[in-house]
Amino acid sequence: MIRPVLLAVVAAAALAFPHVVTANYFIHLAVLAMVWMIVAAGTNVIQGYAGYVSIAQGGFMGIGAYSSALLSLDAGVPVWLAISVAPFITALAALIAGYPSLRVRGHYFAILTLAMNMVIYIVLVNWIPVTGGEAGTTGIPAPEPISIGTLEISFERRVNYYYLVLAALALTMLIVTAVVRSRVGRVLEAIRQNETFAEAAGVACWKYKLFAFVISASLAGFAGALYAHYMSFISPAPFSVDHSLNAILAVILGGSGTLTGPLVGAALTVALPEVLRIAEIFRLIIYGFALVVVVIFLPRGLVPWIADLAGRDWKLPRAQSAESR
Amino acid sequence: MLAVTDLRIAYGKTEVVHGVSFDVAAGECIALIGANGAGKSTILKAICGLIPPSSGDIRFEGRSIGGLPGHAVARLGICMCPEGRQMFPEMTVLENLQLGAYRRRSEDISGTIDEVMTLFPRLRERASQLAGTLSGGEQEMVAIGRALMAKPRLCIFDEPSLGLAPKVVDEIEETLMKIKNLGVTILLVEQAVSMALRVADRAYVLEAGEVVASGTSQEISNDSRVQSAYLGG
Repeated sequence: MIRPVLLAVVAAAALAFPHVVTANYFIHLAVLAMVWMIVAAGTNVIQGYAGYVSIAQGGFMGIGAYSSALLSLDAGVPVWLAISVAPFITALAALIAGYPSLRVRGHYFAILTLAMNMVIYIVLVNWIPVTGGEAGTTGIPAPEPISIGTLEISFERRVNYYYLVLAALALTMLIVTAVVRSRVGRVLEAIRQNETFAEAAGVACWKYKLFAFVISASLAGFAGALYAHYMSFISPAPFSVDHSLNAILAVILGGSGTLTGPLVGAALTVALPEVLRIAEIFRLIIYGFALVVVVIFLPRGLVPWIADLAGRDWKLPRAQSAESR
Repeated sequence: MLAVTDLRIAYGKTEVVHGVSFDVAAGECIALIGANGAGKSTILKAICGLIPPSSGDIRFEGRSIGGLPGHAVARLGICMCPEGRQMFPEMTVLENLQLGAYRRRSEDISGTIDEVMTLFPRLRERASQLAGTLSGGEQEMVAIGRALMAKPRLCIFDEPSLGLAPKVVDEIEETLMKIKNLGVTILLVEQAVSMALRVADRAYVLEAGEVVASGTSQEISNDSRVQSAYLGG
């Protein structure tokens, strides 16, 4: 009973947010937070459900960002189309990279994805004629304005872009929820809990792992495309391994294998470093310390902990699991 | 039904199974017995597609299955019940059983769940409990029940008695007898030799990667070498 009410309250707050908090700075942070929520929700599919840590999410975000930006800038593709195609281009890249890599298990997979991210980063930096190298690509257009009657909605305006990303986040959550609640989601959990045993039950595990990997990557690519057209400028820096680790952190912090956890985690990884600016030079030290404390004392993440405190059975956090792998 | 001919398996350069042959006919219960390191589990892994044999032939119903991936072997109707009470610890007993029937159509599953729960009344009581919280014997029941859910043509049990209390081992023995009486073909790998010989029709004794004796369970129990090595006689 409480869940739909809670969901409605959060949705209403998200819709009202840019009208209540009108400072550009906060709307900007909210847009970035939602972009990272999309990445984290995707990361959760492979990490929280299938139990495989992918350190390539930042790189896939870069593939989405650059393909959407370059399609609209150099090929003259309408921005709406470019953003819609970006997740598929990223999915294709993940399919090609994941096909050979998902035959290895456990930590070896994490190491392979780390290498993938490094390769993507090196290509972005060095393929100067196409990507612009370290200097980046500028002048990426915002999506074309939409006219409804006499009303013209321009996505140059921050508030309108906020609603665009909010809608994208809602779409992402619909997809992720559908995946994890389906039979596929159940099989992914089975793989996380006991892969050999799932194989013995006749599950072709590598197909499901590849599926989870591709879904995760394409959502990261989607987020990357939204990021590129929002910032209007991209360089390789935000798509480095550091940011892949941030996505992993968001999932662990919020609660891996829960639907809402990664969203909370992503919001925190964007907001905390900003809030801690008041501590000046101690900022990163406090941030790091806070993360260590959370991981030690709340290994299941924040959302399952809060749910336990509220004394209700949220069903999803099934126990300590993914983080033990 | 299952015919293994001159099977050789190596880990790296070290050959650990040196040309083992045995066969299991439909409806039969065969035991592979032997001490630690005799190669029993290695042979099972090769049958189930977890490691490729270096030479020799594994045929299931006339079809060569050596080197097929694990899930493909499972789809042919060979169901492995791995050692060490393998199950999905964070899923309920019911969910574990449902996943056992992964490759079957969902309509016909509920009947099988009922059969398994009739076989293990304890599982019916615990249907909604997380499998990881069950006792060792109950977990083994989940593992065996999960294997039966697939309606296998050949059911392979790898050391079902491992690490269980003697009283629970007796229960497992009873269960294996019941499964055998249902007409399921069984390949049983055990270190609890006397128990295995009571359940099985025929047995093969493995030592250091070779079959050193084979025959009906009766013959094997009366074999003086087996008696002195395994049965405390």
